[in-house]
Amino acid sequence: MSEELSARIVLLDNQIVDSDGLPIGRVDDLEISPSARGCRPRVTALLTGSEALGGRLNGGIGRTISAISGRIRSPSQEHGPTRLDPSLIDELEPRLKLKRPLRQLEGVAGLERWLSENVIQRLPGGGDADL
Amino acid sequence: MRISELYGARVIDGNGREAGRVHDVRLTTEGQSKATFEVTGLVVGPSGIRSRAAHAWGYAAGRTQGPWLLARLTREPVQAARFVPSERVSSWEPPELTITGSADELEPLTERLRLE
Repeated sequence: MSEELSARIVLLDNQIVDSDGLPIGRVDDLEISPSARGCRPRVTALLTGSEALGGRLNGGIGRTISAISGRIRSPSQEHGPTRLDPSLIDELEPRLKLKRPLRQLEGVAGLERWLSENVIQRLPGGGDADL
Repeated sequence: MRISELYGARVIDGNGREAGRVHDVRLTTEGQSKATFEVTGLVVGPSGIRSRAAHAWGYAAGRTQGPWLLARLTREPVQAARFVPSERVSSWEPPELTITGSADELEPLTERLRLE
């Protein structure tokens, strides 16, 4: 059984939650693979995070958002926006639910993790804050 | 290629005539698994704020019917929208996509909504 859906309505800007229901971002863009002539292209990744969102916005504002968010990342993280494999999707609506918890999703919610480790946990009483 | 690059791209038919701008991308999932999304086609239509609203707010996807005033303002662009099957797209290079055949042969989106 196949179901046709609108990428704009069902996927783009939809809230992403992990398998525990924790909000971890939004679908800011989709990566589509090129295809041979006459064949249907496929979605190869959901892109999330401010770097992906910056790419969607035109002009200097978008470039600035992408540049700043590109700098706030762990050294082990790959360059470019955070990619989620479509095979991780468990449910599409009303929120896009993933099959795994956030702790198993490397590189996702990079800014939030960075703030948790470098700011929140250093505040008095924030030592047990964790993402 | 990113899907955001497709939105707003011009679609040119085989006669060199503009068929409209890309307002939406239609995907299909295979079975209950969401692992595979294939692009079944593009929704194209005239440019302009009413057309953008019709597609961004779900009127063109058949998901929104009201309020009356917005439904009335977006009716015309929804009726003007056409569906371009992926198989007819000969060049996926935004900001300009080319399709085979004539734009006059494209299926009206309203017909497709009735079929679904």
